[in-house]
Amino acid sequence: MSTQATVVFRAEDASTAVRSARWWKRHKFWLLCAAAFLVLSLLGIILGSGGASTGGTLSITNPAPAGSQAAASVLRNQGVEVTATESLAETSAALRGNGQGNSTVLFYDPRNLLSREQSAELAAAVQDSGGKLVAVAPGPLAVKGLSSELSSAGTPAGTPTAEAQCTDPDAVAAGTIDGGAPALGASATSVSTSLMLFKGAQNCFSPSGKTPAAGSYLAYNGTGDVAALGNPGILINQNLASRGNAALTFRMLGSNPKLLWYTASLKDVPVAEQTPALSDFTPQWIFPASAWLLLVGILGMVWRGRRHGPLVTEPLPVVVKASETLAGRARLYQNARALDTAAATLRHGTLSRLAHTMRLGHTADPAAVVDAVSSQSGRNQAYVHDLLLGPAPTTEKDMLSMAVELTALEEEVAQR
Amino acid sequence: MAISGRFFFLALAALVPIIALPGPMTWLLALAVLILVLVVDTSLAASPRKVALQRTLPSGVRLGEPATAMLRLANESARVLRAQVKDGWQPSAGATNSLQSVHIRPGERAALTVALRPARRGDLHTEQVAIRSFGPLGMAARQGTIAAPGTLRVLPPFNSKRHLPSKLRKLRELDGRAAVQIRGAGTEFDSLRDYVRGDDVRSIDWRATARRRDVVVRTWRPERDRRVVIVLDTSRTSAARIADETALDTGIEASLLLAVLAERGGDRVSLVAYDRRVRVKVSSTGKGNMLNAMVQALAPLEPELIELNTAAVPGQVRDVTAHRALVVLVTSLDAGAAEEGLIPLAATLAQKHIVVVAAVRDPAVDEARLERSSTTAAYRAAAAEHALNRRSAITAVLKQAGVEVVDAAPEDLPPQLADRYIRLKAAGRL
Repeated sequence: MSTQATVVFRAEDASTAVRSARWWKRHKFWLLCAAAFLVLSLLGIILGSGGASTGGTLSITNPAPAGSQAAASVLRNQGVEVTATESLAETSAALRGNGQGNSTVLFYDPRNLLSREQSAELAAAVQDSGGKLVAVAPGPLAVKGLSSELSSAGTPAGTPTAEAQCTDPDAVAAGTIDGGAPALGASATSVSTSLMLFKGAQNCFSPSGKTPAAGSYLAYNGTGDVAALGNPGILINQNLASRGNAALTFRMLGSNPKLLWYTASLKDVPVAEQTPALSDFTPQWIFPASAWLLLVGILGMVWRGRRHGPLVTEPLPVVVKASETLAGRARLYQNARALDTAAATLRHGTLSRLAHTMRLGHTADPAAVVDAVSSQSGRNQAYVHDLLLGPAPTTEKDMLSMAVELTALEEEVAQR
Repeated sequence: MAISGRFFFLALAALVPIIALPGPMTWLLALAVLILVLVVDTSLAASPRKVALQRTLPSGVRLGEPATAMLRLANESARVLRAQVKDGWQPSAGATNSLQSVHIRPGERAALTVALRPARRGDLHTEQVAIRSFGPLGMAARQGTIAAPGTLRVLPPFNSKRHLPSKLRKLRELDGRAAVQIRGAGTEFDSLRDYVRGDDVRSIDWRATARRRDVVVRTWRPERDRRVVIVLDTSRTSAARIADETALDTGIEASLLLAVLAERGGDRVSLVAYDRRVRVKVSSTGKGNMLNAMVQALAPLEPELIELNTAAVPGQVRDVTAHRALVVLVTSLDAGAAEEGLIPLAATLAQKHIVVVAAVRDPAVDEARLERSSTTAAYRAAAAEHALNRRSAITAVLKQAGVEVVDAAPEDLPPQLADRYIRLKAAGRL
């Protein structure tokens, strides 16, 4: 009964280091794959979000044609401290921090996020600090809020190219400006900068065919502290070097030692105006509970999925179904509609069995078999002859009835 | 590392405080409790590697009969082993309770009985024992696998054993040991005895009668010590599955019955399983139990997907015996394979030996021949007629060459082959 009773099996006497080395060797490929995947995704996230460059139009960190990194870095080289701000509160705080009369604020609100009150607030803050405000393409309501003397005068029909046509020293120094949208295809993030016309106490750079009083690209209020620039294209990297764009830009923005580059963002939208999130309608425990259920689900998978030891293999033997050739031949007959062959085979089989039953031997003459069968069964000899030796059936129906009759005849003869 | 259902339900229960007191602190606290339970329970579990295993396996079990395998575990660690033990039998071993729970105190042992019901002939293996050792809380476990190979040899079922008593009775009748007298029961002179009523008068020995006052008859007995060589074909044709078993299995059954019968009949039996090389070779010339040796040798035999090397078979027979013998070829009569190899082989062997070809007949073909209910069935019947026709043609050719053919369905092949042997022996043709 006992054949291997004396053999004692123990776990192999390998040290932890050896076992972990073996474990590492076995799982090396997948572990390295997972590590590479993690590293690549982390790199992607870091490069995608934390990088120095952004894609925004007129952003001082955007080196693309639509950005304004060129203007900002030239100003920095000239000793102007350029700071990017994203909200009204941040800008106001920076203004207070910069001290009296030191600041220029560039205000850019492409999505018209600021209300008229907020624009007024910004203008007041700038005025309090004694600085200058340059509003780049402000909306009609915002421009009213910035200064009551300024107003929007629609959009121009002509080209962005314009001459000074006024006595403002900055404008005179610049002479001619152009700009407009950056060329299509120059950047994947090309955002068109719309052209706007403004009216104010002093108007410069009106498009051709219009008087400065009817609307111009650059409008000042009475004191010259607030300017509305209707042609943002002069600030972008692509157009900065063209005509008098650089002169106007640097003179306007570089007159004070500190420049606040304020781009309005969602942070300026009052909280009450934000649409309520789904979390406001759900109980507080929903998120932690569902996160916990996710964890429990993973635990359940580990509980049920952990295998007891390695997989066991079952060597499967070769097995061939014996009647496969038979089925194949039958289908061949049927597909080819081999009526004559099939009928001949059926008849041959019946004939040889009948010959055996009648004890006529293997080599019996078919006619003799027909005679013996008809006398034995009492059937008409002509019928038996026709069935066994007659012409081959021409339709499948005939073949089927012939096959059935052959079986019946055999049974009849065998019974007697 | 593994966790139990208890640990899962603990994690599920932690949902209650998380809902009752929502907040990141509750969440983290619950997580910390879970991790603490996991770490504590795992570190308090006995090492699954410090277990010594012993196997006790039955030396052989017939296919279809249950068997029990014993697995002894000795806990060699200093902690109580609460474990689930899984014996890694391959699926066809039919281990119904291969996963069992044990509780062994330090230094003590336990025995597990694994009930096996093998579903396949041959050598069935188990490679390892996996031990999942739980900590005192029953929450988390350490798992280890110990290589502990074991082999269970599953022997051919020998279902044809049930035919043995009737065939042996027939054999004894031949031998003259039974009461019934048969004419032509052997050709070898056995002894003289007094005439009793009913004896064949032709067997009266007149010369001996003249010397005595009573009538004396001669008794004959069948020849003894003849050679029977069974050649079992393990080539590709034996892989054919006929009526739920391969042709090889049926051949093994028939060979076993014939071998036992011939050995009881006083003949010397040799068995060669051959395709392109000798797979099994057993002879009754050696001492010991011939049946047991044959069964053990045939157990791991599997069909090979190669063609039978018919040219080398006569050499194999000559290897076994140089004398005239009864050569039984257990093979197939399928068209193609038979025409090319079997017919010349049998004809060659028949020049020196008595040759019997035993082949399995597929009952499905006979059924298909009679099934004529539809056009498709009629075509199938025609194909079946064709196959049977070819088969009978091959049989006729073989018979012409003086070869005996036994062509029967799987369940009929062993008794029919045995009958053929008895008839040949009775006719004194061995």
